[in-house]
Amino acid sequence: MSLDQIVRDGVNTAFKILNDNGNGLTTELTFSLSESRNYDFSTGGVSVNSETTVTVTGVILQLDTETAMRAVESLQLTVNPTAQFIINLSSFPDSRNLKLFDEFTANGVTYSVLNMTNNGYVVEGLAA
Amino acid sequence: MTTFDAILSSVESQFAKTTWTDTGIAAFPVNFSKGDLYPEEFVKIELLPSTGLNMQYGSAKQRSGTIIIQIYTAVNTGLRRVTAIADLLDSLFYRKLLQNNVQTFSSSMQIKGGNDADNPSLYRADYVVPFSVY
Repeated sequence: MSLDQIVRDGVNTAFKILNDNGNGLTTELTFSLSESRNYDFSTGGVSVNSETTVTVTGVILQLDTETAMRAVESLQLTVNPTAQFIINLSSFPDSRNLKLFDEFTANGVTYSVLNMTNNGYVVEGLAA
Repeated sequence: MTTFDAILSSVESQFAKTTWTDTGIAAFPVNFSKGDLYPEEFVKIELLPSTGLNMQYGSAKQRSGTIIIQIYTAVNTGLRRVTAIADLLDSLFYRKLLQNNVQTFSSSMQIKGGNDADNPSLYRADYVVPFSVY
């Protein structure tokens, strides 16, 4: 088994433990992408796609003021983050398009994504 | 007689084939902006027609030029993904006879050696293939 697969399995196990059969810390995050433009190579025309959503399982941590302020300084954010989110990359259908999603809804609250980093296994980010 | 528009259409139609669409890699022409909504990797298609033969017989219109496919990948991920995408492009453009008698030749790559000036989270390399139309 490759080292890559060992890490991937470890991440999957960690998220399973966090889920604790639905009673744990994980929650469903619905990422949404509002209308986007695309180019149709068969017709040579521009097409407009309507809203797309993707639902993944992840963890949301509410940030205290001190942590939020540190994040604003270190990442030079213009908005104070209120939450940190972590999602398992293998649960995302097409991780290459992850950057396209700029907001998500979790537990009935809509968050705007302020920052997102992808290390190939998990995606961590800050939202407000 | 092959027009500029027909040449571009021949090149662009390669990206409508399942050989390319099955890869899931987004492709856009130049002069097309998605604002901030670019995926983590994508390609941009550019066509540079150059001068054909000045002396030609009959209605034949020889043209030649270069197809440049700009390959964008995430920074700090090495060159492997760039070369893998270039290999995929080879399956579409390396020594092929496209529609409208567009004949492509051997390809090359130009590694830009730096992050993209417009978006520092992207790394750019160019896939280059010359073409001729008779």
